[in-house]
Amino acid sequence: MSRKIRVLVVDDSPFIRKVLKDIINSDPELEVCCEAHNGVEAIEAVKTLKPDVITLDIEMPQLNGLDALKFIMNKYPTPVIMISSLTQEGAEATIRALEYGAIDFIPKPSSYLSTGIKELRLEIITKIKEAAKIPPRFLKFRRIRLLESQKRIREKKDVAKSIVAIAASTGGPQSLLRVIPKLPAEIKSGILIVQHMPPGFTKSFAQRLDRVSKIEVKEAEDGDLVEGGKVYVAPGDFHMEVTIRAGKPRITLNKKPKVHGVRPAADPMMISAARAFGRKTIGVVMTGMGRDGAQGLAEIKKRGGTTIAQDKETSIIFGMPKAAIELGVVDYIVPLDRIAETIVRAEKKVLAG
Amino acid sequence: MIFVEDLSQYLDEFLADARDRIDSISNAVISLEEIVKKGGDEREKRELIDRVFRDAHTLKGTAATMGFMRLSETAHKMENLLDAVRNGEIEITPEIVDLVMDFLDAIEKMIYDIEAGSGDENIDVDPLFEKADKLLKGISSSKERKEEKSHQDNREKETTATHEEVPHIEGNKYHIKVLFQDDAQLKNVRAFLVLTDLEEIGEIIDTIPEREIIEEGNFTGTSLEFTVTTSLSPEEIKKKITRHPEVKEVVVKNVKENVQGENLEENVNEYTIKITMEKEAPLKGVRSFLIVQDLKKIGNLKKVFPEPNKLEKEELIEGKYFAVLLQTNENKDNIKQLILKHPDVEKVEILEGNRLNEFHSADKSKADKSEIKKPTPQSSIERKVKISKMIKVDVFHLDKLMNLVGELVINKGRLEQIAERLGDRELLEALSTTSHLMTELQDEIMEMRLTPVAEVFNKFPRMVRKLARELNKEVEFTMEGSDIEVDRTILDKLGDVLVHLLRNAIDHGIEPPEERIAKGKPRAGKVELIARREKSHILIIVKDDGKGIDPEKVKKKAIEKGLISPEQAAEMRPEEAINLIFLPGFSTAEKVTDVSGRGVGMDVVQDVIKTLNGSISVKSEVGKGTTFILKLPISMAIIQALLVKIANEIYAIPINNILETIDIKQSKLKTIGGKKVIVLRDEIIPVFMLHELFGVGYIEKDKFPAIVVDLGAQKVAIGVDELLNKKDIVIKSLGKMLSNVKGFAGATILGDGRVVLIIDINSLFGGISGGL
Repeated sequence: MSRKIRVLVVDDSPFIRKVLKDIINSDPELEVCCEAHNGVEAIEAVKTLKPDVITLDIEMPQLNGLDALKFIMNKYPTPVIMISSLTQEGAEATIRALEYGAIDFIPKPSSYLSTGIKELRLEIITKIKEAAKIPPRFLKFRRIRLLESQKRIREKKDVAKSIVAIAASTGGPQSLLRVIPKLPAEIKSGILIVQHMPPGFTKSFAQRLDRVSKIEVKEAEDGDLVEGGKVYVAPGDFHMEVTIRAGKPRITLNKKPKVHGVRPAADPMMISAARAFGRKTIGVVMTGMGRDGAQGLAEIKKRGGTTIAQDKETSIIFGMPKAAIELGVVDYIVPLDRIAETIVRAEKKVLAG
Repeated sequence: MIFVEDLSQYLDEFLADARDRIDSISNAVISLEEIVKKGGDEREKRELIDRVFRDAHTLKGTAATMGFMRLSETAHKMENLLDAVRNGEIEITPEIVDLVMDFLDAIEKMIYDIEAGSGDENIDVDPLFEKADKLLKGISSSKERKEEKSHQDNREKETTATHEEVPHIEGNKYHIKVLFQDDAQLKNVRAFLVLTDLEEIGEIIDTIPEREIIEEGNFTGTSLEFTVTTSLSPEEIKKKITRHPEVKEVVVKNVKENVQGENLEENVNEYTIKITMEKEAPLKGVRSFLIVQDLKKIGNLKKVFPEPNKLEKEELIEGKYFAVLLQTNENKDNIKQLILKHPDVEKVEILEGNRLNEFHSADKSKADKSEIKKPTPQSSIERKVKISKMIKVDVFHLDKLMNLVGELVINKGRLEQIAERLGDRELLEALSTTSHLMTELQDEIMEMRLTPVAEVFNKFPRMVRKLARELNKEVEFTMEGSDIEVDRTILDKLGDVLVHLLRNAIDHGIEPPEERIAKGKPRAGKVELIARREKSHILIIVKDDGKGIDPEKVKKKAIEKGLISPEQAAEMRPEEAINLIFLPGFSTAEKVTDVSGRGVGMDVVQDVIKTLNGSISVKSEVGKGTTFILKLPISMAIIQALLVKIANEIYAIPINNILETIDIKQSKLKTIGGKKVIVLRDEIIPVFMLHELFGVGYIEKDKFPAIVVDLGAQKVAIGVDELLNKKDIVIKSLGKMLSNVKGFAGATILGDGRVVLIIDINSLFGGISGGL
């Protein structure tokens, strides 16, 4: 057994610090090496103690979590996991943090989470361990712009003729924010996204995507007509499927059992898309832990569709793409910044033929 | 290994945290009210609002974490209210503060209920919610409109932004100057964050100092300057930057395109600086280079002559000097200071304007084009921030630790006896060391038990404010010495006493505003709470500038209540009369208000103070005010005591109670009304034998020692067989079984392991004081 993963816990509430500390220390491979109760102390602790992973609260006195994150990622790059409150502001700040360079987030421990404390404990421990393994190339401060993107308002929406189904998990939000904005306004496919995230966060994420993209992005609602050039993000805690009803593709949301321990899961979405659109289906599996999406790509492939996976070099966690690649169902393995153009080319191909 | 199965094990932490937040919110809100009233500092105001908001937010979050949803909702509602205050949508009026206080009261009650095990559902918060909703409703409609508008604005902007491409930013060009507070601790971090904030809203064209310095976190100056193109308004830009703490001032100026390249700010000056190094100094090239690096941090270094790479190779003009052209807003003195910080600088000359040409002619000889890699800029000295190394420990553990030390002392006594018997010198020496260590251990534990009085004091601003408003009085409340530390046990009991004294001060002391004005006093009454350390004691002073205690009224009341006879009253000096308020069943209030209530009088206060081995005294002047002074030991666990002996038994008497020790000759004893008394310095003092008080027999002797104690209104002499020595003793409780035994404050264990009872003088005389 090598040395333990040293974790810095940053939170202004002694109570939350204690809960997190107990959870982290309960795992034999992890230890809390230090605690800080605001951003100032966090920066100092990172500088002097060089922790392996940081858990970072957002609302704090003197220097808040987002500001501390920016400085830390710029000066002392370290894997950071945000501890996020389940509020709208919390979700927005979390998405922002992921863009700045935080690896992942966990909801603040809470009795009214849909997951119990036992599951949460597992989630915290797994995420910290994964974060400790992140290659340094992903650890840096990323600058963002808060300006909104101008959309070309389409007069008439067309029903989607083809569909793009995208799966992403850990590292997904920050990566999708570098894919969706690059999609051209002229894209004809309807685009479905499953990003593993709790309820509330998916809405903020969809809004953030919408603000920077040329095409419209929304959190999917049950019964939505799937239109071309529009992105639908599966809401947290619901599986999202697409079915043809009265000749038109529509979104259905359901609470069927979790798949791979998650809801939404990408496999049901991709399988339903492949059944509805056949060879006019494009499946994309991006960064993330686990193997969600592999089965979905297999179904797409079986029905003649096109499949894309993010490459190892650019995947923050090369789990899901790896699972799909190993299954032998991936047509194109591409780096993150070429996913958008690959989708566009694939769309051209399926619509032409 | 701990497995976190449910969160209930964290209840204590949660409750403690929640209470801290409540205190913090209430004190901040009261300070806010004060600032608004007096028109104080905007910045301080903003910091307070932020703090209050954050505390409410955390409270909401932690309550939800524990599953107390009602509490979380209540905190959430309060947060909304505070958010509206933060956004400037609601003004801070006494009504708003009242409402926040009501919220805090409700939350506090919930916390209390939760602690008592009955959950957070029993408090009716609906009326509060209604009030808050009503206030918020008024503003929400205007807010929606605003949001709608800004949404439209955003749509109108023709920008396309993604992460990859840098879009062409439409908008105006601004020059932004950011000044930091003089005592700012994190300027390098803040500067970096301001830079990234501006980056997010526009395009940065230029910065002073150089961008690289800010990005690397090496900024050390006092001001930052940016030239930025953005579509945001100057107010929006300002708001973005002032959100950072430690920013003193932000000046945003519109820059016309055509003045680009000119000086952007009037107070930016251009200087030509000639720096002459000591001719013989080694490393003057490196030094020069470092000076140049430093100058870059305070302004825009337009030219260096000779060029920096030459400088580094010691190619100075005439082998000793170099010159730079610097645009900066620092004054000449500061620049000079900065340069002179470097060793080996012989002379610094600073000239206004660009005079660099004068130097060019001087150096035409050497030219070298080889490039040298710049060394990295000297990194600035970053401030050490102390990381909290505090841990929370339950008092229970400290009590236990103290007890264990007591046990150790007993055992050590036994060991010493054995060592004596064996006559082993080495063993005795080792034991002597052990006893030193044990004393140190005791001191250390005592130290650990000390808690700042702030823990109790922090509740008071809210209480005082509430009380004053209920009684329609105006009170200016100040506290001093909150950081003074005292033993935990004392602090716990002190709370109630101070509540009582403060209530009295406001209810009975401070007059209504009209009355005060009529008397020529300021409208608002002053109430002060002061803690002060004095050797091994602390003093706590509660002082008001109200109407004072009238000795005549006190006497009248005492006669009415049958506490003293009219004759006694006639003889009493005013100071003595005031002390009558400490008699059981005395209350000077003319009307019984629900504030000070019935029944609980100053006698109870005095009792509590005495159980803490402390004393209370009062000074008052009619029309001027009243001052109560509490004198308390710092530690309860270990006190100084005098050991006395009667009938071959040793007892300990806390030294606080003792005025003096005397020898009494049997012949000097007089008898008044069947009771023995002695005349001591013209004062008649009753004499009791401790034997009598304990009901043990004794033989009369010609001469016996006695201690004189103060029972508040009366001095008493207590005769004993023998006075032993003064000692530090550890107080141990007698336990539940013996808690009803009067006359003893506890027991202690002496060095030799003997158990000794500690006499509680007050309760000892409780039974017979009526007969005094």
